[in-house]
Parts: sequence; C-alpha cells; structure tokens
Amino acid sequence: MAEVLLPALPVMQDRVTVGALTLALLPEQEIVSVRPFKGHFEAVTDTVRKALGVMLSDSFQEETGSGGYAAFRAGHNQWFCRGPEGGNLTARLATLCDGRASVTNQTDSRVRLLLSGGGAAAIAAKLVPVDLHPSGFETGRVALTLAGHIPVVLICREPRLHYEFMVFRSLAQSLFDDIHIAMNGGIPNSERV
Amino acid sequence: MRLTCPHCGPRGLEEFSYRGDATVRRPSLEAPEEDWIAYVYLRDNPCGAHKELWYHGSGCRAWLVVERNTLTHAVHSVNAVSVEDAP
Ligand SMILES: [Zn+2]
Repeated sequence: MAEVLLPALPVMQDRVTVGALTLALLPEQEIVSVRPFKGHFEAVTDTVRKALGVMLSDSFQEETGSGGYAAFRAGHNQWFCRGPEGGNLTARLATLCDGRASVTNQTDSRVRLLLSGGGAAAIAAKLVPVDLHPSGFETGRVALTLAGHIPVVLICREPRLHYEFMVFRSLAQSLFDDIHIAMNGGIPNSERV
Repeated sequence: MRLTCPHCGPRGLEEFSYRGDATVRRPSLEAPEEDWIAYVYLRDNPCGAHKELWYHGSGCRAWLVVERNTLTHAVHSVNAVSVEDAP
C-alpha cells in the first residue's frame, strides 16, 4: 500500500492583531488535574492550600495564590491546578496527596489563548453561549462551555478586555482561526461547510 | 429554559441533552417479563412534578437529576447524579 503522508502544517501563529484586538498564544504552564477520592476531600483541600495557597473551591471563580499558582473547578469533583512551567507541580501534588486523590498531569493536553482589547467581550460572545456581562462574568470567573463546536474553559481576566481560552491542544489552531475570523467581523464556522 | 448546573451555574437549554426519566429502576434479573418490558419501553408522561436525567454535554459533561414541573415549567432542583439515582 502506498505510504500516506499528511501535509506538513505551518507552525501555529502565536499572535494576530485586528484593530484594537489582539489574540495571542499564552506561555506554557504546568496544568494538573486533582480529583480527591471519596472521603478525602478535606485532606486534599488542606494539602493543596498548604502547597499552593489556593482552596479547592466550589465557586465558579478561579482561586489564585502566590507564586503564580491557581486552581479552578473543572467539573464534578475535579479541579485544575496550574503554575509556572518547570515547577514540578504534578510530582509535588502527587507526593503530598499520597494516594488520597487522582493527580494527573494535563500540561500537554491544553493550550491557552488570550483575547485582549476593547470589544473583546463582544468577540468572545460570538463564540460562547455564556452571558459575559461584567455583572455576572467578572475577573476570575470560569466557564466550561463550547466556543462554536470546540470545548473550552473560558476565564475572565478583566471584564470586557481580557478573556483567556483554555483549549485542547489538537483543537487550538481551529479555535485560533475561529476567534480570528470573529475579530475580522466574520462568522466562525460559516466557511468550513 | 435555563438549568442551574451545580458545577457551572445557570446555562441555556442548548448546552444540555435530555436523557430520560430519572425515576425508572431496573428490575431484578428474576423479575417477570412484563416488568422488564415496562422498564425498557413504558414511560409515564406526568403532568406536574417530575424527575429527569439531563446531561451537560456542552459544559462540565456531568449527568444531572432535574426536578421540575412539566405543567408550570418551574425547575425545583438540579443535582449531580448520585449512587441512589442509578437505574
Ligand atoms: Zn455543568
């Protein structure tokens, strides 16, 4: 059988600007999924709080600690902790949790994009079905949702101006293109059919 | 209609899928055939209070039990499924 070779894809752009709007690839972070086992939630929360200075909160807000560490709830009994690359966060949390939680590195699974500038909320609102009005979607607010057809975690960095998208690495280019199309006044997905 | 997901907060209906009646329970393996036919095929269509399974596929991807009124459309509670909710 003939060998099938996939065409080489260009390296993903790391920044585009349209008027006052900028879409940029954010630096890599270490991302860790922490899922406390039954009966160990308090102990795991305590461990994470001591290690990173953040609570495993049931709110819709991301908790931020010192040293660039943060944590948000990523679903039922699941939290994403994140911190600077090279901080050995996964190994540290796995050791500290000592079998009381499932600790899984997710660094390779996600890419982060930041949409910035005046009108950023309006562009983000073209893609997600979540109400982004600052009265409800304030700084640190997290939404697990869809941007078009792409699952994302949307985090408000500053109402109206800065929105972070956490997206599966294999879908990052598609999301980048969709946001770029929206920034140019187009309708994402309309040209793919 | 909006459902207030315990993990995600209030979200539009388009993020959820209806996954059936949450009150049906699997009969025992020894149960008569009629019980199994009822379990597989027969569903009530209540006018009033009801318990339903919903799946938050566009959000946290959790299965939820929604208590709502099919007559007034009032939603009384939305909770993550628990062991007790297993069919
Ligand atoms: Zn949800």
